[in-house]
Amino acid sequence: MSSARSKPVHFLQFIVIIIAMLIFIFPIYWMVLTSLKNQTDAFTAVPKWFFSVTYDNYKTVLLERDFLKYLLNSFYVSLISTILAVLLGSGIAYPFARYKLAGSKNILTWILTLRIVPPIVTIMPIYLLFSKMNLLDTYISLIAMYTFMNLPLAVWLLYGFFKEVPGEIEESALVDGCNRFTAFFKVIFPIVGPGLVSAGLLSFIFAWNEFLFANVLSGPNVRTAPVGLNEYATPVSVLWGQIAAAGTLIIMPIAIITIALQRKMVRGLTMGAVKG
Amino acid sequence: MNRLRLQKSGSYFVMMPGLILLFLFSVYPFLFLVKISFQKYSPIGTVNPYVGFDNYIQLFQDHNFWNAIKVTVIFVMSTVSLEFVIGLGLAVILNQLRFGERVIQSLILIPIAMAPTVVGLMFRFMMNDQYGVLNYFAEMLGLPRTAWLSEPSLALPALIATDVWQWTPFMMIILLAGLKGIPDEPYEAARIDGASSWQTFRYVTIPQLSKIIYIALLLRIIDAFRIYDTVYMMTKGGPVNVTSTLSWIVYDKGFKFLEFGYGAAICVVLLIFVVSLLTFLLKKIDLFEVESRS
Repeated sequence: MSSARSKPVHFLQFIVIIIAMLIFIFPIYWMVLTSLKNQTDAFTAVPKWFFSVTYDNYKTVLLERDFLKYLLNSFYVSLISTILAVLLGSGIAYPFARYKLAGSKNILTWILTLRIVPPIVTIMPIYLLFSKMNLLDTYISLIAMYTFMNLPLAVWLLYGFFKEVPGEIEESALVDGCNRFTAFFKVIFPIVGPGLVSAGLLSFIFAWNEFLFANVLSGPNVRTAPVGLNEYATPVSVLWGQIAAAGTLIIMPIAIITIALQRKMVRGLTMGAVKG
Repeated sequence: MNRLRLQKSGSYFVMMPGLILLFLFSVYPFLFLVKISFQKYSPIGTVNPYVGFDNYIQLFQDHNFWNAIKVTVIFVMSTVSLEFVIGLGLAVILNQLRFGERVIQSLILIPIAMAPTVVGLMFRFMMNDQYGVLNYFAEMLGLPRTAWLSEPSLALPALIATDVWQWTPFMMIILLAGLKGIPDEPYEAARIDGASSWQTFRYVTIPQLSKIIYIALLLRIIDAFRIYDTVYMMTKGGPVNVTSTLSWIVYDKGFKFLEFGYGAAICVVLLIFVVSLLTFLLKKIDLFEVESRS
């Protein structure tokens, strides 16, 4: 098809893609650049493209402020809630995909509508609930919340993957003397492994980036990185250098795993509707 | 066979923990929300008297509420349509170029995976009128330096631009995956019939892509409705309410003015609206069919 197109059209298309890519990458590049500048270089009317690199912003953020602790909090909360979401999600998705259970379509559709509900509507009841249970500013509150919020996606994604496992494979494993659990771990798990990675990746990114609930439910003890980031943006002064450094630290791990696992990511983004 | 049946009942046990969690965290907040929407409820108050439909009556007379609906609808419609048009255009071009797809895909996934809080703050920095790099570019194009985020007519477009920057890649990647899945035969048939490239696009590409387009739009609408993080980081609803979305006013009423009862009434109305709209949209596609097809 492309052979029918003339060279100038091709060239034009090429230019469009390059410009689009520059636009998508520039803000990230600019943030990293700003994080490496000192105060005077960062605040100039004409941007400085060449400057002497300083790591002071990172030093301040990590050593003098509590940002390292916030990053670790984020990591801990995201990791545990991801594991829980994938485990509980498999627990729901696997039986639905394997057996004809009564009401399975209704339950799955209900789970999907939970993905639709804007999270803001649960914030007040959840806040009061956790406050009554003395669970504000604890890991439990954030982990429970994120597990809940990630479960619908995990269930739907994993349902799609489990459906792809042919029943016969499992039957033959059973005949060969496996029980359901060993059959699951020896035969099915390797097949749906990519699905678990996909669901886990999306859950992790979601929990890592979440701000609305983290802002309301966490205090000084379990504050996560996106909430900590907001500390540098006070009404009086905005410490852009430190914000850029903290922002870079937040996106760095996510950017790395995203690039490493990009195919898994594409399938996860569409809740399994598109294969990457 | 007997053994299988036994396993089947066992499966309810593995489902239970997840289903209970889902049930508790969705049903309890909903019931609680409905209850306090009939109360003058404050999280620090000791008496929270029932006031009947007062909150709802106040709601429908509150111009802030109507404004929030207007802002949210404008935001959702402009972001989703811009992201779709630009994303589809880029996906079509990239699909024809067949060049550097892996590199482009991995770079373009980064905005999607970025925390919206970080995106919001960075765009606020770049949009600053004195040292913002975007204003520097604007000046090079002959435009005056403007504090977009404190200008009532420009704050919402600036917020929309930020969202378009972050989520156009999402559209592009999904639609590109969809385009790659279209078989060659319909294109050959169109070529033999002498269809122009526009006709091919309109009558072959779009119909073949329709299901994926639908899903992509639906997912974006769901997420655009929630817009909160970037509002918090960039404008805090201002200037003069031009960026107060529904999520923002609920947060504002609840956690700044501590009017939980009133906030709950907004949530109930929002919930009814969003869930009925989206279940209507969901009915249009058979999700189970989508699952088994892919």
